[in-house]
Amino acid sequence: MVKKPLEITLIGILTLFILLPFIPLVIWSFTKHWPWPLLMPENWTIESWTYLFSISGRAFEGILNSFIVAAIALLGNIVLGIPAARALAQNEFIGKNIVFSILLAPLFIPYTISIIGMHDFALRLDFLNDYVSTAIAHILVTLPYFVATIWFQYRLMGKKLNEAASILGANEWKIFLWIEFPLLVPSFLLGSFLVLVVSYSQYLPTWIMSGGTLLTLPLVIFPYANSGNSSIVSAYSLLFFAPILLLLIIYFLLLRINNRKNTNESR
Amino acid sequence: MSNGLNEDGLKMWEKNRLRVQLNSYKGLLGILPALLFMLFFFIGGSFHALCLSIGSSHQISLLGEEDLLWAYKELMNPSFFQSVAVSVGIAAAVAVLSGIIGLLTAIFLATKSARWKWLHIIFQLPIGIPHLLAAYLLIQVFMQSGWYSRIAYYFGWIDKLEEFPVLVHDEWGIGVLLAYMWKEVPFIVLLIYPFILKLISDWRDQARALGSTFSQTVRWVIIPILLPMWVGGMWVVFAFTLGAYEIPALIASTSFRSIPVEAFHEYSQFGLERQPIAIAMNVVLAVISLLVGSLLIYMQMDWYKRGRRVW
Repeated sequence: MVKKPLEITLIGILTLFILLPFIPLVIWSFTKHWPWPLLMPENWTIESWTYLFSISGRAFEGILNSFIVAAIALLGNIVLGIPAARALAQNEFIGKNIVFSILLAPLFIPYTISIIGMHDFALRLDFLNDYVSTAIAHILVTLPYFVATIWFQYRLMGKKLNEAASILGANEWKIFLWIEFPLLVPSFLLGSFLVLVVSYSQYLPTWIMSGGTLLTLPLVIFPYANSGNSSIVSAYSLLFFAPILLLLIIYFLLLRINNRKNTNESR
Repeated sequence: MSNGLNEDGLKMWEKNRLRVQLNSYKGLLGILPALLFMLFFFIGGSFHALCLSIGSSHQISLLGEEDLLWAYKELMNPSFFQSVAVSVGIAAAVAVLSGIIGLLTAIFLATKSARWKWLHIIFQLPIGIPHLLAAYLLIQVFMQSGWYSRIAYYFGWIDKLEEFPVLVHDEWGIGVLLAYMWKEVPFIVLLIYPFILKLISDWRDQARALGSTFSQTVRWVIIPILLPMWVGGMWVVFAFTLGAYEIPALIASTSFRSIPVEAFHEYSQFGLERQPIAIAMNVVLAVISLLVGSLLIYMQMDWYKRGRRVW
């Protein structure tokens, strides 16, 4: 490679561009007053953090609501997504491309319009509870990611092991449980991680589906972010990262356990 | 007697044939729930919203006349066309820029050894961070009184706050562009990096044996194979940026009229009568994305026909 210094500089700029914004966020969450042009504030306080977990801060409520919706959405993804991905990866049939593109459509076409329609449906049905209807909207948004991830792993797996097992007399469920699923675990974890994170960060679908009443974390934070109270927003943002970080750690731990189990078994 | 047996045998044969047929289709059954879900909610929901925007009874009773397309007629004005141009322009800019930067970054990462592993982690950080917070993070640093302007002051590059360029709430949407890039470049990298890694390991030696430099390998091998996926990724970014609300709502100035922000404003603040307008705006966005997608698919087919030639 000829242009090495240039390359390194560009990557360096990009890295700083990604990383640096986190620093003032942490600083802001521990101070109330931080005038320009000070690089560091002079007075530190934890007021914002105490406000967050007070009743008017609604932090716990937000986390709990987000968690419930994301959990329902993940469940829906698993029930709908795994069979679909499996069928798409293992069968050839007429119109497969059309089916696949319908399943992935929310990635390629802005989905706000269909969520407005769904909200009107839900209003007419009336018996759906806010958690469920919001989770349905989140499933719509996340299903493409999940199906694509699982589909990809199924393609890598191929059908050979299935055929061997079915010749040996295993039924479909046994094949899925003992052959496919263990091989699927890494992409299953990645897909679930994506679903949880994407569901967790939705603002507009949650707002539209619940009419602005189901306070998930993004809905709690948005008004603050618009009002410009830097200290409180920063604290909220860091709080927002906590579950994501936790999920990431769980993801890597599970992945590692899975890998270790596999190497032990192969010994 | 023999006739009865025959009938039984026929029945059994019929049953068996059915079972074989069922078995070959059973694998396909798994698609049904997800397909029905998408058909019902995504396509049905869009269709329902479309109907709401066309046949709004509220408006008919208010005006005393039947004007089914009033919402769309109301959109037929220069200021909305300008909004369309702004939204499409920023979405296209974000898609193309993050596509190019993402590709270059992915190639860079793929050619580096395991010692650079930490870079991957950094480049995956923004994936987990919601757009709402990405917007806020970038406001925090790029504001005129933000952290970067303080650093610039510290180094003596500027003396007054006003000397720092206006990057947030600016007229040209630079802040919006920066915030989207912060989110979407890592997305493109995540999407294409595994493929580039595999392509390089598959083709590098062969290309080198044939006497090509690395940049020639990229131009003649990697890009032609990767093009459909890369362009697909840019389409995803385009469609997302076109329809997303949080970043323009927080970073753009009020004169920067992006459609999602306007539509949500109409939807949430002016009551039911204005809802058809909000839907109509979103219909326009969906149609644009569909058109761009069809164009891309057509171009791809044409490209396959011409033997995957790249420029």
